Amino acid sequence: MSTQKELEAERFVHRGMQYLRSTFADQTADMTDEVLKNRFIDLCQLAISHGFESEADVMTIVDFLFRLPQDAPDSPDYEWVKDILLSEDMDNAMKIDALYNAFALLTAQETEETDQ
Amino acid sequence: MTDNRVCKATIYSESPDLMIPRKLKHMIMPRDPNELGTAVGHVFFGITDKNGVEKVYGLHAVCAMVGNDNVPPEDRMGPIFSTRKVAGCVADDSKEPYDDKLVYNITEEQYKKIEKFAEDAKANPPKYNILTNNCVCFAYNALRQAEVKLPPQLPVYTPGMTSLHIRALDVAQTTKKNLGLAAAKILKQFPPTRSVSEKILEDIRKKPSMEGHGVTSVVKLLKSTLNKKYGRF
Repeated sequence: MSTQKELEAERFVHRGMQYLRSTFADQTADMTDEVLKNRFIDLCQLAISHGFESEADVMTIVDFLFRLPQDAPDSPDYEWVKDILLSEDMDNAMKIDALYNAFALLTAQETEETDQ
Repeated sequence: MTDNRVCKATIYSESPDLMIPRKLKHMIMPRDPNELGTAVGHVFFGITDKNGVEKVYGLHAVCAMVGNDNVPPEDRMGPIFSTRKVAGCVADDSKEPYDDKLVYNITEEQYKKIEKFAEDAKANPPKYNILTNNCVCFAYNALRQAEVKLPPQLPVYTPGMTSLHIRALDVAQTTKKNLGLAAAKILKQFPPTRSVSEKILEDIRKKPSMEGHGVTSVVKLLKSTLNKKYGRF
């Protein structure tokens, strides 16, 4: 029999997958539920391993990582993600803000390069 | 605390022709192909008072203004890398086309500082030099009076760099806004108080997405549940 915690976690996974399907419709279109669930759990575990605990915080990191290429956590081009997540000088809110700022600058730079 | 930034200062940038994205070329503000600014770009600025009235200023080389072909030889620009300083003119650029703009919310005090700089320059125009005192330098010097943070430049100030940074800022702000909206949406759907267990998630991963339990399995499950509850059944 499932414990309360397990049921909550199952619901979290279900809602998380729903969120990803609606927010990233194109990216998730070709993913089966099984693939999406595993990717979602992978990203949750990455968030948890860096000290994010609450559903909201974990989901914020999952949402952010979903905006990057799938291999980003291991790619040298995205070393800055790891640097920010591992930083000991920032709390979780600061880390999220730093990730957002870095991503915004990177997107701006990439857009400029594409426009030229 | 009240916000006393009731005025505005705006940097306008007519980007060099090359920097206009192809897909937007037919939608930009019309420009005179005979003007130097159309090819190399032009930067000018405006200041808007608390009543919303804007005054627009820009520095030009007199010889480069349309219709001023007959300036004396000493006021002709010569080669592009010339250090020659030629007659300058601070004009009302309110009819000039632009592609990019950067708006600062400023106080009346800041407004007055920029206005004084601009009006002084209008009355007594500085010499123009394409490298050391061009339209970008003039606009930047004017806005420096208000100590605002200006888009970075290389040693030679160019409209291209101004446009580049305004565009980057625009994209960065939009991206951050979208991320903020996503975070707000997440906060509505996912409690900030309930924690997530790494181990339970791992257990969920192992579970298949579908499990079939036929009558045999169901009876077996029922038996084991009853055995646990009441002893051997």
